[in-house]
Amino acid sequence: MADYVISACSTMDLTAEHTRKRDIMFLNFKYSLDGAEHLDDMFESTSAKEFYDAMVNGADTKTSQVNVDAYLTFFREILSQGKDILHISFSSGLSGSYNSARIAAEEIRPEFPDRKLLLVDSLAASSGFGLFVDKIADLRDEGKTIEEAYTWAMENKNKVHHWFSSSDLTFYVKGGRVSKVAGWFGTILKICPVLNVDKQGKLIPREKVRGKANALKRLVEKMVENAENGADYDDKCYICNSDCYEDAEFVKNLVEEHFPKLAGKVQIFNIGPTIGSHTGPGTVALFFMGKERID
Amino acid sequence: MDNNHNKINGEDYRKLIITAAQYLEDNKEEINDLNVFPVPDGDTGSNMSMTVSKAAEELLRLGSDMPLDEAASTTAKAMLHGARGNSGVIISLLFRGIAKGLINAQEADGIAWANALRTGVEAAYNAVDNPAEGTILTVARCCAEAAEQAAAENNNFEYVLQKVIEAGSKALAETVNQNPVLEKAGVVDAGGKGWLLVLQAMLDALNADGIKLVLKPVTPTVTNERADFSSFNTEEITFGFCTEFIVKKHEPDSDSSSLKAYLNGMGDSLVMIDDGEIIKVHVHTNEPHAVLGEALNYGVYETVKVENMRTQHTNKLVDAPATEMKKYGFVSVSSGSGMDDIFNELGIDKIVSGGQTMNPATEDLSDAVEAIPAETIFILPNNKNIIMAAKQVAELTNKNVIVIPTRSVPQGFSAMLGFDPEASAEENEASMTECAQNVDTMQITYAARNSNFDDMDISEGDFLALLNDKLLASGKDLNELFNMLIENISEKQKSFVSIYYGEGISEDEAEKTAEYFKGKLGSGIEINLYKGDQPVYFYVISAE
Repeated sequence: MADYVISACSTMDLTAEHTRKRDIMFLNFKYSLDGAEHLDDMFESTSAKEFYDAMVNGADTKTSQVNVDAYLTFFREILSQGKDILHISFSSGLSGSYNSARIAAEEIRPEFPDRKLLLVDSLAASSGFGLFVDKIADLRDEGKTIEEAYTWAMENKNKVHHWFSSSDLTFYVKGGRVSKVAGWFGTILKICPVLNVDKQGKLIPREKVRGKANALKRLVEKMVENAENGADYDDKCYICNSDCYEDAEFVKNLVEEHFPKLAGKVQIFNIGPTIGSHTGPGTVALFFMGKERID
Repeated sequence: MDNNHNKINGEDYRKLIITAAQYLEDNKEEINDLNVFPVPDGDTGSNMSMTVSKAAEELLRLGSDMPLDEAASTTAKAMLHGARGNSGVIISLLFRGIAKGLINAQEADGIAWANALRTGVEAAYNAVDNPAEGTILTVARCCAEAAEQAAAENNNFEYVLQKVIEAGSKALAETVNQNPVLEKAGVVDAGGKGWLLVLQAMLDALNADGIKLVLKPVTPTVTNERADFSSFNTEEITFGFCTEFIVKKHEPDSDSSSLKAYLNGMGDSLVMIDDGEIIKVHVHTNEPHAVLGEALNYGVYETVKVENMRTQHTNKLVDAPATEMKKYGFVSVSSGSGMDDIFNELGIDKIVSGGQTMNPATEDLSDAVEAIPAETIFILPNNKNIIMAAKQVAELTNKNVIVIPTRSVPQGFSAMLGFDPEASAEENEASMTECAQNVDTMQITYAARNSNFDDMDISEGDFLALLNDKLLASGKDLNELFNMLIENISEKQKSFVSIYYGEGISEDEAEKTAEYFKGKLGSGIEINLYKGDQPVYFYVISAE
């Protein structure tokens, strides 16, 4: 077994069980629901259904940036056990948490001069972030050193593709995450945007499509266009959803039809409460390894 | 044959064009009746008549004694502004080329006229993407070829025109065999017929006395509460510089009546006050420098102010309240309040009312373009008969005009989905065009006339179903037509259907139609119902 710990954030939207199996540690982000603060534990202690129902019923959700202190505590606990850390952070394009992690790392390194603490800004989010971390855990399990895993991560982070769509943009607009197009999608024409995460790890609306089914099909078309080795894609593929499992399954079936060589079945996860606070229900996202994101 | 008219001058040309307008106006129904397509639409005769009338009105307004080249360019310009429908645009292009051929000419003999007809045909062919045989273009080309030969035989305007009409009549008769649709219906091309009528009018006018033009009365002017600057054309300002000055006289109480006479000859709107010591002048003129120079003979300037009224006017047109220039703006042709609402929601800046039976003039579109404070304007014509007129707008404005060739309102809606405010104009043109093409448009209308079209026996009043402008089926049972559309939707694996119901369809009836589609298409396909309120089409249905 390798002597370093792979750690990440709860915004990687896998399941707590999955991370335990893969031996991935993570820092919990926090969110508040109607003023009460909760830990984001990828819906282990609460259900996704409860959370999204509360949002639909008007509950106020908030997320806050993870502060330097939280990272200090998190890193210190691992380092003091005599283990090195390869920490993969949530996209700096979407949150200031990478910056908190970086400051914490600089502060704590002198305390543990013999330990390694390497940071990677994943430029990824949700289960795309999860897929990326999973790939790094694979390398560790193959016996790669912390440096080798770090180098692979730095060289490949821009190859994680995130394509997603939503049939309900109320919360995107409210959260200011798609301010550029605010007001554009609420139209009676049922326009669904197709978005992705750009090379800076930011959320960019790319296309507009009429109707949910067309938008979901478009996600798969994007995978056909961009996946590594095209139709012969043989790596992992994850899908996440916010309380719209049927839509996620619709995409899963299409993907499995188009890509017979996939590594295992497509896995479907929940969009956790941190990211879910900004998307609300109705978002489906598709993640895979592909061409380098160039814009 | 007596060919009295060796050549024509500007006054003759003016007479010929005005007569042509009169002939078209008097005979437009005959041309309209040549329409073989059973779908109600903007009629060729009416569109050509309105286009040529624009020129006639302008020539009448400007009065006689015009040099030939000016009469020709005035004609071309007015037609460019007034062009409606594809036939209107083509006739305007023919006259534009003719004006080019007559540039700097005071007179036109047979050779000059043949040359002008040739440049006319060149201009028209250049502007049409896929020129088809058996149309007005064919007729005009044959006319021009005959003109060249005739002019070589006899360099006489009247002789050439006679020969042109002989050749044109043959070419027109031939159109029946060149176009399968015309062949079936056994009629000649309507646009070609219109062109021949124009030429015949010209020949007749040569030998007629005086000028006759009895157009429909011009729409009465409505008094607006606020002055509507857009109703004044910049071109209508005859004297462009508002010139005001005060001169302190060299010799008090000297006579200044000669200055007044001079100023009266230099412009209009003259106000001149001479109080003995100073002279105050307000005049509109095209030569402020000359006016100011002359005034120096009477005294020394106290103040001088010169303003270009054309730019003043243009400024008022562009932005009455100070508005910032946007990068992109949008003009869309639409009819029906529901359709208008959707376009507004999609971010269209100006809607030009029009569509299938009412083709807006190029000028209507260019006015809308000018009224939007944006550098690049996208025009969505949303009808195949409006695309050409829209493409002419670029000639009338300094703005960058891009026409997305949308052929239906749903294509217009989808084109807007392809717009990205951060992309370049070229990128947007490509992606908007692509998005428009992803939509199938189906329309249900009624037969405007009895017809045998594509082997379908169609009676006036029958329902017609069109798929992307092509006649799909006709009949008296709507559900049968719906079934054909539904089949098309399933075949092409579309998953989003929008049904826009038109004026005269009740909400109940529309809901039943939507239910019918839902029942047939199953749950995998999303169906949305919208009140479009559009005329002519009971239903516009899009699938994407």
